[in-house]
Amino acid sequence: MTPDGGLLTALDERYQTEESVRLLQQDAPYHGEVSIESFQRRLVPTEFDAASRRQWDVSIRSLLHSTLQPPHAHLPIEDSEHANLWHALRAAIESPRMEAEDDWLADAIAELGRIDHYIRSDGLPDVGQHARDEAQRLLEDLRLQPLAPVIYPSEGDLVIHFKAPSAPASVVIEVSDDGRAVCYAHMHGKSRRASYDTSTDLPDVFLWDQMHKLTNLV
Amino acid sequence: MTPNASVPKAVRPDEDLGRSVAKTLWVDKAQGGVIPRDVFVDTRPVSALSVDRMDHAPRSEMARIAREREARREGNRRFRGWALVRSDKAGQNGRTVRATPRCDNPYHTDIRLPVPADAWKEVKQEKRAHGQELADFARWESAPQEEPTP
Repeated sequence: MTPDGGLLTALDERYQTEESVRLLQQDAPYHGEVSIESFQRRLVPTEFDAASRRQWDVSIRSLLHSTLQPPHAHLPIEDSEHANLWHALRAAIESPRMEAEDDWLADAIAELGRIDHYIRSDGLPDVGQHARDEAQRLLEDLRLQPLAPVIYPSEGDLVIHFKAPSAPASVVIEVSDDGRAVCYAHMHGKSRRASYDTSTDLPDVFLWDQMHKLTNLV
Repeated sequence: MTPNASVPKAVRPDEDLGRSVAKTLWVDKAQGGVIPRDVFVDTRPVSALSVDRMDHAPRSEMARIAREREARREGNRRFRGWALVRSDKAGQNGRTVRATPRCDNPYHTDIRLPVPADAWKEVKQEKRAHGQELADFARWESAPQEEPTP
């Protein structure tokens, strides 16, 4: 098996850059498993315009669809972080909504840029730059999620709000300027949440798991 | 004005409760399909949310009450619509719904949260989680056109 597990070899040649090869080879410990981080953030060449990114995503999705296998299949699924990542990514790949909504990142970042308008017009507490930067990073990390989020300021914090389209359920990520974060999930009439001293711990297994469940609600 | 005697004291499970909304941010997001959880979060040190019972008077009357209430708030805000949640959903997960009629609003109701009122910072996440639940159950209804004054 090649260091990239054969994935890169199968990519369209025009997407093979030296940088992407280098980054993918850094993931050699995965031994062919696919890390979400690799494909969502690190391997997408930054010089791509929106159309190229879409084409890139389609190629990646197609490849993953044909090559992904559950990692650590011998472990109980809940014991494996990779298993949760795999579930989340697989759900994103297989979702029929993916093609229709995979443009939400640009809209979400634009929405993030408009929060000052609301802060002024409604007299809301300002949101610090760290919270804004972290929110943007999280949006980029979550860009393969099929549900488009809504972004808004909340008493000095920033909220990334994913709502299920056809059920009273949602996942809310709240980023504070002091570096903390909270992830709230409400599904099937029950709420769960996780607090983080540092928002850089997100996305984590809890968030991926809740997003996976939210995405698959009917 | 005395409380309207025609409004039953007990709140039925299928009654709609309206949380009036004036902030541009909340209106824009609600009209886009997502009611922000902050619509159902009171940042003051209180453990109840004020809502109105929507099924006992015409919308024009409910809008008049909401307009007057928003106009009294800081900033003289303009009432734009309601986030509507059914009473039985509002009363889930430890929350309770109780009619609390007032002289100027016989439809006033409290959604009481199972959190202490005097520990705002400690229960901030609790209140926000309840706000998220209520927002998930809620639907948006724009305010009716204001009737011109004669």
